[in-house]
Amino acid sequence: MIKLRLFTLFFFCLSMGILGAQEKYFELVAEKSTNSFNEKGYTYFGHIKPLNNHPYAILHFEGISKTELHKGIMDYLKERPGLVIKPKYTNEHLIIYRDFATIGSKEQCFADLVGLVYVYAIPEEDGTIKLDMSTSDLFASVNNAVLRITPDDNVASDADVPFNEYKYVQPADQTYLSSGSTASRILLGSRTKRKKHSLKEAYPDSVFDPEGNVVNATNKVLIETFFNNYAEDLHNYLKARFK
Amino acid sequence: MNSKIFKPILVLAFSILSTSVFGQKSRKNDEALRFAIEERYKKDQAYAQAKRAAFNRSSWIGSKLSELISSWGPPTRVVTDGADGKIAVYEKASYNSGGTYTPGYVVTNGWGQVVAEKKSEDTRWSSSYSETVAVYADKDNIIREVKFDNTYKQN
Repeated sequence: MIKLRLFTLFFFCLSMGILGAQEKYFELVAEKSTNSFNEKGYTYFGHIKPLNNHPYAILHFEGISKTELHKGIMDYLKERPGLVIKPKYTNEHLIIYRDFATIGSKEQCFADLVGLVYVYAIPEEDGTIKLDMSTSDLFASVNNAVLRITPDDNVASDADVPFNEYKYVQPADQTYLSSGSTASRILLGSRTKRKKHSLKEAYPDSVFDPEGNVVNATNKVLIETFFNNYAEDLHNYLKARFK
Repeated sequence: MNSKIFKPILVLAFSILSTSVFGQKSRKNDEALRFAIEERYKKDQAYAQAKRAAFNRSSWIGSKLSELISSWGPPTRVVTDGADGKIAVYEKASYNSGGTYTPGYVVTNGWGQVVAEKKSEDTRWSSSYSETVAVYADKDNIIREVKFDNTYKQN
């Protein structure tokens, strides 16, 4: 048993070491919402964004022209058949591709997490590529749903097994109406009563609690690593190509 | 003598009380957790079901238009896309109405004074729903895109 624990600890340290060695481009954050959804309990919303409040994550390839970068990205996509290019929106200034991939299993993350990632790659004349993945969607299932995707990115589960969009932030307490007890009906004359229920316990896979505090650091690292891998993989491919 | 009997009774009463309070609290927690899990299940189920229609429609992309027509039946109309391809359009509309109109009345006496009055009641309503599915096929009759649009109006 002790050996097993030591092995688990060693494996954890090793994986953290590997994760630590990876270049970081994106981070998962919870920000306070300013829209009217607040009343429905979504005060905070979580999303993936480039580090240091930059609008884009940037890959640098000094001295490489925009045309060369564009060709490099297109060749990269030819070598990654799992990544689906969106020809309708792709042109000489912008390349959009998507992936549909597993982030983690229920055993790791409390729910099966799947990412529908959209990568917007913008090659520039100054030898940089701007990357944006903010329109990506994540899905979560605690019911072992097997998800499928169509060529135009509609997602459904086999036999309609329950799944949903992943909630980065656990839902806040919600008020439900229920029929009151006989005593309350007689005493208060009310037929229904309002009762506040906490729902966050059903969302252990969420990274943030309703107040925006991190409650699942493991999933935060997993999701950030998942997004960073797309930037890292493209960077490594082009770095090898242009060296 | 009295305290010798009293002490064990007090300890017993206290332990029964604390067990009962703890049990009640734990039961409440279990109920709250069950409620939260059921709510998530309901939401996830509704979401999965809501995604089905769009998924089924766009699953036809890559298939032959003739296969879709033999499955869905003939389209409402087929138009050209302005190039080599064509668009098969499926339209569906439904109209619903309900409620009643009860006329009001005014009763006056011989001197023209109102002795009874009731205003008319109108609870009539109507709604219409229309749905359009446009299936885009290329020159080889292969489906390339499926667009969906719907509108709902309530009067």
